[in-house]
Amino acid sequence: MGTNRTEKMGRAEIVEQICPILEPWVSDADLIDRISEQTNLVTDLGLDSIGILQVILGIEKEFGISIKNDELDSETFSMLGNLVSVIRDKLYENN
Amino acid sequence: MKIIDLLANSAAVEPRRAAMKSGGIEVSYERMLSDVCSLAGKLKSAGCSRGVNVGIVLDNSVEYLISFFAISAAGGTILPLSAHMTAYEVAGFVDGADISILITGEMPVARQSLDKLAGFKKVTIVRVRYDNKNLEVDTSILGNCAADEQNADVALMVPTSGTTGPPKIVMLTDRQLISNMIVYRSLMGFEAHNVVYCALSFHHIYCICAQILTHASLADTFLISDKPFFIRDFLKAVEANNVTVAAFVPYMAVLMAAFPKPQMFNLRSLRHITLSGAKTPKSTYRLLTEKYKGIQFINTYGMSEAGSRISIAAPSPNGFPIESVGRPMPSVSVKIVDDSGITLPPNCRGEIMVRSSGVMKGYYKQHDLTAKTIINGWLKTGDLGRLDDDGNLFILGRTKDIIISGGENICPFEIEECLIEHPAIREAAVVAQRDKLLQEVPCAFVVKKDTSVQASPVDILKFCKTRLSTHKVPRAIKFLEKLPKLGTSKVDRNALKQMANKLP
Repeated sequence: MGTNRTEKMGRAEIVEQICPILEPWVSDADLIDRISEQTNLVTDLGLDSIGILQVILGIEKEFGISIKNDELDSETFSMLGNLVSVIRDKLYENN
Repeated sequence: MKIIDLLANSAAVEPRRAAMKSGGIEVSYERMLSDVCSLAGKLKSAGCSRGVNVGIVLDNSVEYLISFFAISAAGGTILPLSAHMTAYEVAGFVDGADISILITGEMPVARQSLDKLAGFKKVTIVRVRYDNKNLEVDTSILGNCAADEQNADVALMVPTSGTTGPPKIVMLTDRQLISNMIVYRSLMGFEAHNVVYCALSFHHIYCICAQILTHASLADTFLISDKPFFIRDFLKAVEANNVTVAAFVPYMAVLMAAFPKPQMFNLRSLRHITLSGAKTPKSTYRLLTEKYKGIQFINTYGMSEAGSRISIAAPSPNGFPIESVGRPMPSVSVKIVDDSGITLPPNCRGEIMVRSSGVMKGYYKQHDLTAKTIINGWLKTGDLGRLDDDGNLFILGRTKDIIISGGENICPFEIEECLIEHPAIREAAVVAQRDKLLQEVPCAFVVKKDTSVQASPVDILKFCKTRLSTHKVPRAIKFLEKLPKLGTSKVDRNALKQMANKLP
């Protein structure tokens, strides 16, 4: 799909847009409602390696960005806030 | 010899050597054996003995390996389950595999599963936690242990995917597992004092054989991470811990081949990575050998029913054709047969049949299925392949409809059963869709009921996620007016596969 907007997306807006991508991979829907930048995708949401790969692919498609695998490690990926920073940097790296 | 003896021997020879490192925890072989014996004592008090099935629902951890060996020490049968299974799946195994004791920990996902589970089944729950260098064990005895005398010699039971019916459970004895491991270990020619990176989940049979049993018997050090797999973490860990060996499934190899600048890390300690679970793409293999000179990438082929290694492209001066999975191990006979079971000459395509001392005792409580799978001592693998003139084995496909995604075998029937239980779905068929990274992913085609119940693909995915592990949840749900059929009833899976591969 990709985003095509003139205004920069805020962090909260990015979190909101990530939620539906996470949703199919999280067994308990209540967890999605309580999501914040402090949410740990592994320990709080219970995502496994395959789930994480799917979420990364989903994010790439949704935001029209490409995340290389040398940009991600368990520290970057564990907190949702860190992931939001990666997405924001990618979206607006040239301006 | 039993599985526990592998650990006991290593503890006797190398008591001070680190057996496990995980986070800030380091446990020596001497200490590990003492913890294993202490947990085994508690399992025995809870009723564990020969023929009692004990499940493990834990992430990769120090606690996992202690539990694995403790079950063997207590005389029970180890039944490794994934910590990421849903409550529904765990309950299925508790019933289907007659689990009397479940060992688990403090992880939120498993805890949630087991809390739901405890309400409807009387299993004894043993929670283990390594805290401040001590193993804490908390036992809630909720029922009596049932011992199955007929299977008292079974050391390990491994769930595996069938194409129809409930998951099959493979029974392996100590002798089958250890004889297979010893041949594998000698062919690999491991040097002393390995540091083993544990990237695969410990419940995977490939990991149990090629890592847990092999390296525990060599008094090597397991470097355990409970985090999801990222290549950057792996390369960092190699540099920081002088990792010497690792075992990967193809998607991990694909990620490693695509990593832009591996030279950022000092990888000199790393000697080999074994590849199994499915076929590693040729282009990935080429890229790996070009990019990571000095590391040997070794294709191997195995399956739970064969207990488990069948062939390896072991380090040899002449090497192996890139796409082969090496030669059958000396203790394993392999033949290729046609549809009527006639042995075919070299270079002909047919079903791979295996005979060895490692072949399973049978499927748990499924005598008929066992009799159809092991015929005159030969195991029908369900895989298609060929042997070349030099005896190298090539895997060419499958006779069964199993989906292999990221190295995990998935039974389409299990997903279809789940889908049909959704109130809006009348019929469902699940097939493999090609995927660049995971090779295959499940894709579902469903026919709606003529009812007022409305459901979007997202609703259906959510429903699946409450029952199925992540890797089994379909990548896509497509609605059809009717499923394509061969004749009157059989779903035309090839037609659906073609449709799946045309999806965006």
